[in-house]
Amino acid sequence: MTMAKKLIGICVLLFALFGLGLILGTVMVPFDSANELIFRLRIPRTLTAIVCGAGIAVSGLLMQTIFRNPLAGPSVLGISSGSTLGVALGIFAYQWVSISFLNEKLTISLMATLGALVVTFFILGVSRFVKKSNTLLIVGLMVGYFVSSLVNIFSFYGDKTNLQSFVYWGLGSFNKEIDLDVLSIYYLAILSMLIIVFFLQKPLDMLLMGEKYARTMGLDVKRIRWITILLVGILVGLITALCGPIAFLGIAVPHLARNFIRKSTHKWVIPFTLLLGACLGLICDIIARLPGLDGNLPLNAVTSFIGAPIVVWIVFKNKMV
Amino acid sequence: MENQSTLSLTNLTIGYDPKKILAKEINLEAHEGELISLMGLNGTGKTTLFKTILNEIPCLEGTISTHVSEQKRHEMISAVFTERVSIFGFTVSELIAQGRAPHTNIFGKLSAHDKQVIQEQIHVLNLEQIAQEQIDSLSDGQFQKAMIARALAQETPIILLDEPAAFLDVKNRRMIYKLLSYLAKEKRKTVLVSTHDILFTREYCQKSWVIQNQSIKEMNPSDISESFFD
Repeated sequence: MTMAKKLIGICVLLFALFGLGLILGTVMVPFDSANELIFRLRIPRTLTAIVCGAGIAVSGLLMQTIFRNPLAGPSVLGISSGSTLGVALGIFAYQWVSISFLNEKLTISLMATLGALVVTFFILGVSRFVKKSNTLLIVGLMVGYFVSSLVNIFSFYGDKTNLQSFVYWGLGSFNKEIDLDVLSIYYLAILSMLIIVFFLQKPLDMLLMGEKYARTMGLDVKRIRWITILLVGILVGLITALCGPIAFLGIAVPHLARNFIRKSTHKWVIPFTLLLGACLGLICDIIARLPGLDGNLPLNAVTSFIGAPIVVWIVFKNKMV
Repeated sequence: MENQSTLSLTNLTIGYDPKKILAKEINLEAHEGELISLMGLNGTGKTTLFKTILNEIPCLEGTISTHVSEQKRHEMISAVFTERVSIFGFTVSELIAQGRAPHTNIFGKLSAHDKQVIQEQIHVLNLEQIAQEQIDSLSDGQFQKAMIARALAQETPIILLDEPAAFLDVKNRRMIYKLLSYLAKEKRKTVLVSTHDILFTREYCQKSWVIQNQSIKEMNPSDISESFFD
């Protein structure tokens, strides 16, 4: 199959899944443009699945390239944990100081973005003094543990209702019942980050050979690492704010994309990761609310349920063991 | 006409830390068309010298200059290291194309000239048969050849190679040595190779830079023998 055919195939799949996502649900609805259910609930939900699936997948790709580590993903630098801390603060702060300058859902989203950015800037600060990316990876992992411990402490002192809503948020969902005009700001922000990624394809390709070679070809490795981590921080923050911690898709999809096109050059891997991420986001969402299920399955469970076997399959298939 | 100088090290001191100097008062000059071996026991500073020349770590004292001083380091010097790089789905020609990175636009698009340069290296190094093969499937010898082709595609007057034959068998080693000799003689490159191979130094190199007792001296290859390092 040529690249063009593969690209068309994925696009067709994406459209099919989009249609399916609108029709399928706990309640089957006939496709009818006047149907309120579709407009108020399913369109935002399906769009969120596409945008967040694509965004988290591309963040995973960026992390895997700059750390040259197939297990890297948006969760490893503690960025996702930062989001979780932000949300924990957002939810539990309600009980202590009752800050309610905005409605609760929006506050939580903002806190998630903020939490991710705080950790991102911390990591960026550290990266100025670190020459090897692997050292940074270890620092990031430890930051993740540290932040998680703070989250646990908050949860311990939180009251029952708040704890429940925090746990519920942690399960993840593409359905956040936020108005479409607020959502579209998020979509726009995520899409603009994704556009920037296309401009990074050359430095990312240079990093495939390792930082040592990239430097001999004149790449300012520290600068590219800075830009990339900042992008990932913003993307993960926005996405986690919208649908909870679904970072696992970020590890799995880039592998799926590389394996599908059998290439690592970013000219191809970026668009395929983006499209496959969107498809997988939709698939996870569809599974999460299959007809016949009473209510929704937690999204976080579905992404890991699908993502983990994919990674194992690819590792074995490529004899990476 | 005397060969033009390409790289001069003047009063250079190298090391990671001013308190731990590896070598000092280094005054050396490399010219075009020269194949130079860099020799010294483990830990004496071969890699450190390379890193300093590549501008990865600063000179502790002194200067390194290339004959066109206003040019950037990566336009003057390309490098090949010992360790093998593994990239999923990367072909030999894609690898060689990487060498063009300093010359291409923001998206890394190859111009007609870039493609021609890549083809030239494939031809010079006799890689036509394997140009579309994935680099992960190559033998160690073929891989090093492809890496040298990539360095050549960067079109720099100086090429540094850090123990390029360390993992190779006798046959592939000779193949790489002949190739380096050809690049110096015919392509007028300055080729600087760090190595432990005394036979290579004696047979192929015009001169040798030897690190010993915290200094680096230029030597005639025929004066170097195993007992020299005792």
